[in-house]
Amino acid sequence: MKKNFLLLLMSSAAIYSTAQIPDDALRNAWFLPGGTARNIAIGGAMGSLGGDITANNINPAGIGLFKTKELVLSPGFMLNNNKLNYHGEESVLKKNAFSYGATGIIIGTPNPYKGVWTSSAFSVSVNQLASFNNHTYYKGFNNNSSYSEQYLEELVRDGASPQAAESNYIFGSSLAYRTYLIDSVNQNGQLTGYKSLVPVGTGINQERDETTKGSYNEISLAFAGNLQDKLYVGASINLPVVSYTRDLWFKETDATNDANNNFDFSEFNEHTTSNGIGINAKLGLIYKPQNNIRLGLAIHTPSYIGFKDRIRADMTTNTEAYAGLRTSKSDDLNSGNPGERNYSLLTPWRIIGSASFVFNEVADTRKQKGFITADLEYVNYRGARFSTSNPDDLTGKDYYTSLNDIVKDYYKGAINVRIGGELKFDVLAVRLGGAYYGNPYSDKALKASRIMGSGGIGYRNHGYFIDLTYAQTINKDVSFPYRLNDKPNTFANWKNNRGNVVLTFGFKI
Amino acid sequence: MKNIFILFIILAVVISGCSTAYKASRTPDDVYYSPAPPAKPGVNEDRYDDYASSGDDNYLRMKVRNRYQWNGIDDYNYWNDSRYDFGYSCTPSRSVLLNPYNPYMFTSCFGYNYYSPWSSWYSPFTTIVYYKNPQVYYGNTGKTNLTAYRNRNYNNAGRTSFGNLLKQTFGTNNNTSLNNNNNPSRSFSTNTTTSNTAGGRSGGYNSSGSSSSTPRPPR
Repeated sequence: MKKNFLLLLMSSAAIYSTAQIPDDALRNAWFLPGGTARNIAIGGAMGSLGGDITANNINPAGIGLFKTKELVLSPGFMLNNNKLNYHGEESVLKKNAFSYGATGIIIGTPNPYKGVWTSSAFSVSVNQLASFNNHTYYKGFNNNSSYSEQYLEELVRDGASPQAAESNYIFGSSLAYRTYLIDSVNQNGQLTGYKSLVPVGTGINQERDETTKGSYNEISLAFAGNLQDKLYVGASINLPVVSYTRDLWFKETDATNDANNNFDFSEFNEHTTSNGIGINAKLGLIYKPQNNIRLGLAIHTPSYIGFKDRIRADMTTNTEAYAGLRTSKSDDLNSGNPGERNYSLLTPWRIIGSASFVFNEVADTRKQKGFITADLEYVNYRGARFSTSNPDDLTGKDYYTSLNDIVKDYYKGAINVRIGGELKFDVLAVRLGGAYYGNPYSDKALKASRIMGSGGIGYRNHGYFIDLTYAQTINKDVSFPYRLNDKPNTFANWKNNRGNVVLTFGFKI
Repeated sequence: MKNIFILFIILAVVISGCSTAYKASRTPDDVYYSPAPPAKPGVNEDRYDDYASSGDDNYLRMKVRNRYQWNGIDDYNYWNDSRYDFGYSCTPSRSVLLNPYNPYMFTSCFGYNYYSPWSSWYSPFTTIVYYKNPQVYYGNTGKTNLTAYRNRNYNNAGRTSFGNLLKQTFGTNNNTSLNNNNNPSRSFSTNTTTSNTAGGRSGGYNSSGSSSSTPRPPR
């Protein structure tokens, strides 16, 4: 029954896919604080505070504080500024995009009878947990390695014959082989290996341009109960809906002016789409040991997401006198169809412990003074698991077993910290917050982190409320143009400054 | 995404036209305090206790009225009242004792065995542990795109600098033979037999094209 439900979920989505690599796991787990403008302004530290619709995605017990009903809308705008440093050269590129935060309805219902349960609340919301809209570009001089070498490694390690090389790797190695970026090496009429036409020794100029689109959204159905205004328990069932599109362009150009060294340039284009839908649960409680103090605990189960990916690729290479200008497309080798792949991803689980102190927790809004709040979150990034959607696909199982082993080695668990506060002046409020998201990579040479600082204002009167927030995030990450097994790898250091403006408009029903 | 933004604007306009119960007052802030309407008047505050104790009260009233008449009759409510059936002691719950065919009966506790109509195999409480046979999967790709993630040697050096020169001169790079080649190459290890069926699953995709195999045009 459960399996049928998941299959139904997967088939009901308009979906399609990308090469499964460990990076796909991180893309669906390393999220910044999101939600309403108020939540982002306080650094996303909603674990123990409650009283905001974002609680559906952090600690569902938080909606148990509602005895009223409200409707919330949170449109936003995002400004990306990317600085990438590759082999000492810095490249800058900007990309702006619309976004949105938590949007939905909360229905709080006080218990009309005096009993154990003081009230209960139900909420339906949709929230964008991650926006993939971005555009990055970097270039640099390299005399150590070439992207063509990844194809050499693949063909040699697989023991590929020339027939296999030209037909069995239509999204990569076959394109390189057909455009003569790489060619077979024969001695005494016997195939001994493969060679690249790229003159790495004299150096090449490498460029990489990547445009990504899409988002990770979550539809939440949350329910919470309030025991004597002392203990709040809640649970949410969430449906992640993921769409991701990537257009990748990579080019290598001969760094010399030599027109007779059998290499001018090679460029590779890849278009991938990945769409999925899944399910997860979030459980939490908030306890008030005394008035003004709130302690929270929440557990997020892994999300089980069914993906369908599609890929198209082409390559153009000019090897001058060797074979001239050649182009090869995967569409030409696959009857005009993209490559497709169906798989499931189990995202990492997470646990959140939190505490808040509320100044003047009273009914009279004119006497409410403010609060401070903090969350500590642990995410087990190395716990992500891929599996094939076809149980009879033994080759696929083998691939995903290897992929999962790599995920376990490549990532680690990390701690995220969120902190924030609000000062309230009758109808107006000002907020400040910050968040630090730790490095998910187990290799210390790969520096990555996310630091967010945020501030906002709020206005509440006559049954409405409006919150406006600006958050500035510094995302540090790495970008590998390609990966090699037997030579030192190379990567760009990526610094993404992201500004995020979110407006939340709410209405008490 | 622009459509979503337009939808947000439309929704905001619609909502702002709605009336609210708090139009003439401050908007409640549920983070601090969520106001609730008072409890319904006329409703007994201790609803649960009142309901639960009514059976006991009736029994006691009858007993006070005529102790000898009602002494011989056991308290049916007590023996069938789930409120007193805690079920976590070693003694089977009373409902189980009253119904020996109850399939949820404990089978053992601290060495005392109680009757159970289920054999252990069919009992819904028997944990079934099974093992899958070890499975061996044979892929036809070396998955070099994955194994490369285990390579933690990095070289991000740019154009020749003094530091790079020192590295190149005195460094202990095991792959210098590869670096020094103007055109990189890879050779099969000895005893490798090449295969026409190699690949086919590059990057997790079915990467063998469906088009009739056209050979690579010659140089």
